[in-house]
Amino acid sequence: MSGYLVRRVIGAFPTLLGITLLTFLLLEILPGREMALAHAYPGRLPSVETLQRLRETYHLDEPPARRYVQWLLRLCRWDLGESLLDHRPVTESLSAAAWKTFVLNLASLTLALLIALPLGTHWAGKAGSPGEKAGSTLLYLLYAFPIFAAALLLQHLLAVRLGWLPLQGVGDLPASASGLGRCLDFAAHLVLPVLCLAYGSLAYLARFTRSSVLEGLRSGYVLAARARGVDERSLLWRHALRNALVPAATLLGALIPALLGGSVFVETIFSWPGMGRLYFESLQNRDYPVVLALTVVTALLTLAGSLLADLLTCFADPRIDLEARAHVLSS
Amino acid sequence: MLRRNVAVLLLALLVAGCRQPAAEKAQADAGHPVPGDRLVVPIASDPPSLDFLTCTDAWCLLVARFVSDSLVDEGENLETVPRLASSWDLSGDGLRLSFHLRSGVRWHDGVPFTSRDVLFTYRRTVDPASGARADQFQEIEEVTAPDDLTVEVRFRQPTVLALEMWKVPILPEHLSASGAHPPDLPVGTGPYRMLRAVRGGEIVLQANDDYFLGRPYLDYLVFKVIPSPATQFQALLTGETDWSAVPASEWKSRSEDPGFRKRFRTFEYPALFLNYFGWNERTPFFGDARVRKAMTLALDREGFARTVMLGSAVVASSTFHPGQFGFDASLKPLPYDLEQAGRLLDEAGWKVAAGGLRRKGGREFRFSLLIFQGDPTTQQLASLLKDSLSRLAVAVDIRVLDFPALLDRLHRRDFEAVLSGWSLTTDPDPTAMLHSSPALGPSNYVGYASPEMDRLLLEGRHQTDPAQRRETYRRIQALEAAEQPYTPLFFPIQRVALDARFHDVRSSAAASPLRPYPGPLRWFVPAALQKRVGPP
Repeated sequence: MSGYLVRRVIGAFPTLLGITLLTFLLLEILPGREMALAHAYPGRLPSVETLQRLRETYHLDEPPARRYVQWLLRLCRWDLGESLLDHRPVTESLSAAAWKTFVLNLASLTLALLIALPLGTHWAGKAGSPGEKAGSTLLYLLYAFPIFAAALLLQHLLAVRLGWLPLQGVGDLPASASGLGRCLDFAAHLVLPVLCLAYGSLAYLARFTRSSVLEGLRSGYVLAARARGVDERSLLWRHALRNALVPAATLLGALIPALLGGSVFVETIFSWPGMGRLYFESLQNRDYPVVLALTVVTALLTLAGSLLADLLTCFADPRIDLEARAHVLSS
Repeated sequence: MLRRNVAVLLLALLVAGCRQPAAEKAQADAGHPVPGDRLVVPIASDPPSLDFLTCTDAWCLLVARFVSDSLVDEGENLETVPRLASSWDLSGDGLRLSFHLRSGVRWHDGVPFTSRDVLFTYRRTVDPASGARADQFQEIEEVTAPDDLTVEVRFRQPTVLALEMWKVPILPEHLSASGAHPPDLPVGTGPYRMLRAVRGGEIVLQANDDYFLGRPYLDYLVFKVIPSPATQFQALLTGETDWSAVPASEWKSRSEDPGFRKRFRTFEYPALFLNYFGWNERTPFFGDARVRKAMTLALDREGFARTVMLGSAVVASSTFHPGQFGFDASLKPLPYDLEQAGRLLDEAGWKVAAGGLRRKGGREFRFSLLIFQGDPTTQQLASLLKDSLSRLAVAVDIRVLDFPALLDRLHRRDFEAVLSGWSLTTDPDPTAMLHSSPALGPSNYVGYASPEMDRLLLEGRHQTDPAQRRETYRRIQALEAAEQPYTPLFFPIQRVALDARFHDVRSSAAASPLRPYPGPLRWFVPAALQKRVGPP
């Protein structure tokens, strides 16, 4: 087991290196870097001298290979450099945005799971009934409902018309307010964007759970348990659901990087300063240190997520032998 | 027609301003101005930096107007008003300008403001290493400070921009001299001091008790980052903010809704911004003025402004804005006339080939149009051009690029046509867009070159007699109309709403009520109506 882990971690390095190299190259060929650095606009294009000075200031005259290696060496010391725009350390803006996105995504995923697991299992037990059919159709519709319409509707109804919830932002209370008050204020601001992010994944996860549980219900061990006289209720909720959790573990692994992947749309409409907007704006501003740092973090999380998914699967189903699987894969 | 509509609208606005029902009555009851409350204004994004020397984005410049002071500024009728300079003298030959500075002014950290700060601002701006925009100072020979309260400016030749160029924030010499980067919270002499700036959150300014005009009435100004225009308007409705642009689709119903009119005061004015199509004259298509004119004639700009933009735009006849000095109201925008457009293309040698596109010397009339990504109006305008020209057997390929990538293409002159826009200044001088020399016309990327235009532009720049200058600008506009170096499209009409509890807010025909000086420094909220109490 530990040998497997070591091999997996070592194996991740070339992948990570490849991802950073590719991103670096893509950014190199993306036009407009000097224009963004010069804060240019159509009424004010920079002169040739200005551009030359910018290239010197930001060492853009050095060959790309050298700049890439320098960036890598700094990365080894977890020095992500500073933003070309505001000259603040990248880690600062990164952690501020990551924290906001993490809370938002964790809350919406938890909400979605809390509803989707029981709902999907319940419907699997009632498969084929009119209620289940209607529910599934409803979920399909919910899944297809465009998020921008949902966001505007929720805002208009719950914030503007009824005034129950804050419309946008991360908090209104001044720094002088009490800790608890600010926490509640933050939580209230969280509700609308969480609802927006949750309903889509809720529909998806519920359907996923339903089909996994159904599969379990049709398998041999459920038949055997039923023959032993286990009642339908525990068949569904103990035996079938538990087995359905194995694919769910794999899914969770894939969701880990998504926890830090911000939605540009939701963050824009709710003025939530998270990762999606940071990525989008950095790319628009050609703020390369930030873009590269975001890529590295996302890549790391993706690799960690897939490793975690493998381990979870292994714990959920001890029959899966990762060592053997690794051998099969490598031979 | 539309122009007349706008005139009517502006008139209606004036009348509305006179009526101003609920607010006016409350003001009479409220008595004299009192301090208190705060104004919350949404901004679409964090300013990339708060370095007032180099920043070019609208939000940084807006904050700069409150935190720092310029020597002179714009009043409600776009006239030049004193700010840090209490008065000035321009010599008869127009070559020497002396500013007399206010005495007793202090920076927010208590250090006295003197002429050395003005000198420092000038030197930093023209120092290439600072990265600041220095072209407005190019006519200056020398700036000196004979004493602490006098600044002398010597020009190479007389210029009409002598005062205009000094509408820039003055920077503190004692703070900027050492560090390369400005501090996070800039220090100024302005009516508000910077309290905090939270990225992705808000920028908070606090009233400066020692301001030389007296403390402004509103305790705080808060600029809240709200990226989505739709959310900005909703935030006004929930009362989270006090100010918002009103979306064109909401304007009609809202301005007729008594509930809305009671809560908010609305303002509208043509923005100092022009969208245009630029035709690269180095390409085989657009070197001929007849072709460029045909492009303009082929566009139904009035119809587009009325239907797609729901009347929120004024069709432009040239690069001159109706609110600018020298605007020639008698010059009408070119009409929508496909027939004449076709004739002009025929004359220019672009004949319709059998069953296909127009051709000239074996070349098809098919060009690419670059547009910015993201703005829906831009996409609609590009489609308008494509559809209109397809009726003239001319093909357009639309290429969408993001902002820096598009600028890169313009800078390298690597384009055939572009849909873009300019922010205009109060002074109309269009030299940067129309002059053929790279030094004088850095934004003339379409490559327009006319000796007549070059001569008129420089004349206009140095004519200090308003009547003469007006005549020169009339001829420039006529020449623009004849040669169509750009197809001028629209000046968007800005429509904004402000919470009605703010009093003594004056509208301006050409600018946002937030813009003039002292403008918002006079705003106040009567004690009974104060809503946001205590520090934010």
